[in-house]
This record gives sequence, structure tokens and C-alpha cells, in this order.
Amino acid sequence: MRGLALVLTTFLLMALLSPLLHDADIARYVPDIALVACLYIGLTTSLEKAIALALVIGLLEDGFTTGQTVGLGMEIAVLSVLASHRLSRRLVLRGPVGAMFLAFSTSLATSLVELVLSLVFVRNFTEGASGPLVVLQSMLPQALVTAPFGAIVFWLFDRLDALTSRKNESVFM
Amino acid sequence: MREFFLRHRKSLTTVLGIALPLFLLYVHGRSPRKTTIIEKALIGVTAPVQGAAARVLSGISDLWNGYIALVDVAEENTALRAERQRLEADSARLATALAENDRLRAELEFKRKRRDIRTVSAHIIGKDLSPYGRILRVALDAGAQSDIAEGMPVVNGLGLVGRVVRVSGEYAEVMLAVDARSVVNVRVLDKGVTGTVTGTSSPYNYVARMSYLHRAEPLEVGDLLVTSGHDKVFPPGLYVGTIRSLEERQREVEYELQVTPSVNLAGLEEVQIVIGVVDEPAMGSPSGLRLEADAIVPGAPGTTPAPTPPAGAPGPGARPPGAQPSPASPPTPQRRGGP
Repeated sequence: MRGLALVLTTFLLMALLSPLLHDADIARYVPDIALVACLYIGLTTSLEKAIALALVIGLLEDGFTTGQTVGLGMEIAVLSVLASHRLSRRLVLRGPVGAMFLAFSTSLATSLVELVLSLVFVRNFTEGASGPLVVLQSMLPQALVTAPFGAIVFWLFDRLDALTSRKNESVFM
Repeated sequence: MREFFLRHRKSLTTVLGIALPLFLLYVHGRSPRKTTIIEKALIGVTAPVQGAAARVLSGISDLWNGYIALVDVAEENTALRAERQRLEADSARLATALAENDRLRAELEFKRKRRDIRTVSAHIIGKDLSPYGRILRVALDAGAQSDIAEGMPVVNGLGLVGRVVRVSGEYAEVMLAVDARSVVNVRVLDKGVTGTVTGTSSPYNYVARMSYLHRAEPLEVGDLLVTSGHDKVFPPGLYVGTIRSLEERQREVEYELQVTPSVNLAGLEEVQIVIGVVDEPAMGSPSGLRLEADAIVPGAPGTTPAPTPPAGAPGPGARPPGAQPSPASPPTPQRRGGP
């Protein structure tokens, strides 16, 4: 139930975000909502469930991201979940600043992972020599745009968790 | 087997979670390839939702921008109205300036072509109108101080306007060529027909009539009439009008035709008053025109005394125009045609 709610919320956020940013005329860099959702799931869910949810969210992201090779978003989602799950054992994350910092740093890291995976698996990625350059150029702005959404999505999922479960712990507050 | 799976559940899930996307990535990363069933399914799931989201947000945006966020609209509307009024005023001024420019160019062209006549420029400062809006006579801002005298011809770039009938200080009054008291000796350009053009003082429109005795050549609608100079009042070669209709009627021994003045009398703004002629050939005058520079002499009966040429103007050949009566144009108009 909780997992379904999280996936549906992420799905809706991803569906709304692109036209919303387009209307606001700031659609050049879209925040990586799927990444933030996976981070939250990795921090708050058991590993098996988190990986399963990450696969679904990653697949949906591949569907929403025009031109992205299917599997790339899934792989990044799974790696994000694994990283945040590992992180949750060593680090206690509290407050919006922590969420923003986590989203920022993992966004940078996932951009690099995306670059490596694309270079290895996507045959036409280097055609025209624009693919790697685009990823590198958009890495920092993408992370900066994603960072505030880290706090927003974490807060939203916390509220959602409070509704769907009797959880007292919060990664946000 | 089951125990193995349970024992290594996390490891197996992790391996599967990493390997499955890599496999999909490998399959979909090949090029060229066809769209896979997974991609089709993804598009089928995401596209309708994204389309619906876009429509909803667009509707909300339209609602907000069109009905709610109208804080500055009234102010902007007022500013735009003011801007529009200013632009309309600018446009009207520009149109007026362009029209004035065209008129002045025509006047300048006239002066350049007719170097044989000396003129004084004047503005129309008053117009007497008939009850039907027709202009009966006009007042000019040039008078005796500018060497203007009664009887002097008044022209503009398009042709003959009329003649000065009253001079007072810095002002003068002009009787139009369509006034019933106006008589002008004319000839049909390039045709051997001469006659007189008399105004009709029609209250409705600007029409004159041409009277002639003999028709050497057949006339046509649109034939140009120019001053012949035989009346010793108007310099020869000034456009007077065109034949409007060939429906001639006989009055005693004369025939009459309707004539449309060449000048748009309703739109008069600037005119030239002919104050003298010089012995210099005209440039670009109507074809077949022979300038009779010595035909205009001052001091003729029924006209005002010849004005003194201003200092520095024309040489010895300059002569002020006057009204020398001719057989075709009586010195004092007898007909009193009110509008």
C-alpha cells in the first residue's frame, strides 16, 4: 500500500512537472524527481522492496524522458536506492538542508553514472559528439535544480507515510 | 533451494536489480533497432497521463492569467489607450505633413516649370462656404504688402484657382474660377479650338462651362483646357480644367460644354499669386504651348494698378499681370451668380 502510494505520487509528480516547468518557462533543466524519490525509498524501506520500487520508478522515468534509452533510468534508480540504503546505516539525515545536500550530491553522481552507462551501452550516444557534452554541461545545473526538490519531495513523502502507515520516524524532521 | 533463496534474498535481489536494467539497456542501446514492446507500453502509460497533466495545467494557467491575475490589466489598459491616442495623433500629424509635403512639392514643381511668371506664395486662411459646403471664395494671408493687387491670377501646382478680387493690408480675397463672375479665355490643348470658361456658381459642385463659336477639330471628354492668354489677365498655358461632358447646348451663336476644374478647390491649402511675368521660356509647359510673355500688360481697364516689383526681383523683362479686356472676356463681369 505504502509502496504503491509512493510510486503513484512519483508518477504524478513526474507527469506534472514537465508541463508545469514548461508553463513557467524554466524547462531547460528538469529536476530529477525519480532520483529524489528513490533516495527517500532507499532511506526508509527495506532493501528488497526498495529495489523493486526503484525498478518501477526507473522504468516510468525512462518512459517520461523522451529519447532516453530504456534501462538507463532503472539502473540509476536502483543504484540510488542501494547508495541511500547503505547511507541510511551510517548517516542520520535530518531537516531540509540535509535532503537538499543529499539530492544535490547524488544528482551529480548519477550524471556521471549516466554518462558512463551511455558511453558503454548506447551505441549512438557519441554520434555528433554532442551526447557526452550535453550530460557534462547539464550536470551542475541539473543538480542545482534537483536540490530544492529534495526537500520538497522528502517532506511530501513524509506526509504520505504519515497517512499510509503509523510510522513515527521521519527522515525529514 | 528455497532456503538458498531466502538466505541470499538480499544479494539476489540486488544482483537482479542491477542486472535487469543493464540487460534492458543493452537491448535498447543497440542501433539501429525497432521500437520494442516495452517502449510501446511505456509510451502507452506515460503519454496519456502527461497529455492530461499538460491540459489541466494549461487550463489552470489560462484561468489564472485570463480571469484571476488581472491586477495590472486596468492600469495597462489605460496606458495602452493613452498610447493608442498618442499614436493616432501622431499618425494624423504625419498624414497632414505628408499631404502638405505633396502640395508644396507640386507648388515647387510648378514654380520650377513656370520660370516665366513671378509668384508670391500664400496660405488659405479663410473659406466662405455655401450651405452645401461648397467653397465660394477664399482669403489669403498675403496682401498689398506682398505686392498683391486686384485682378492678379491665383494658381497652384494643378492649375488655375481664380483671381484676386479684393486686397486689404496683409490679406486678399480670391474669386474662384468656378464663380459665375469669372471669365477665362482658354484653348483646348493640341486642338485648334478657343473659347471662354465661365463659372457656374453651382451650389452643389465645382463645375464651369466652356463657350465657343467654332469647332475646328472634334472634342473629347478629358480634353485639357489651358489659358490662352488672349484676355491679357491670365498668363498662357495654365491648366484650367478638362472637358467633363460632350453634351453641348447651343446658346445663340455659341456652343457650351461642361468643364471640370483641374484644381481640387475643396482641398486648397496653399496657392501662388502671379504678380508678374518675365521674358524667360517656360520649362516643361504643356506640349504645343506658346508662351506669350508680352501678352500681359499692366494698368488695363477694370484691373488694379500694376504692382511695383520688389527689389531684387526680375529683370527688365518682368511685368505685373493685369486684366486687359478682350472680346471674349468683358472687363467687368456682369453676371451675379450666387451659390
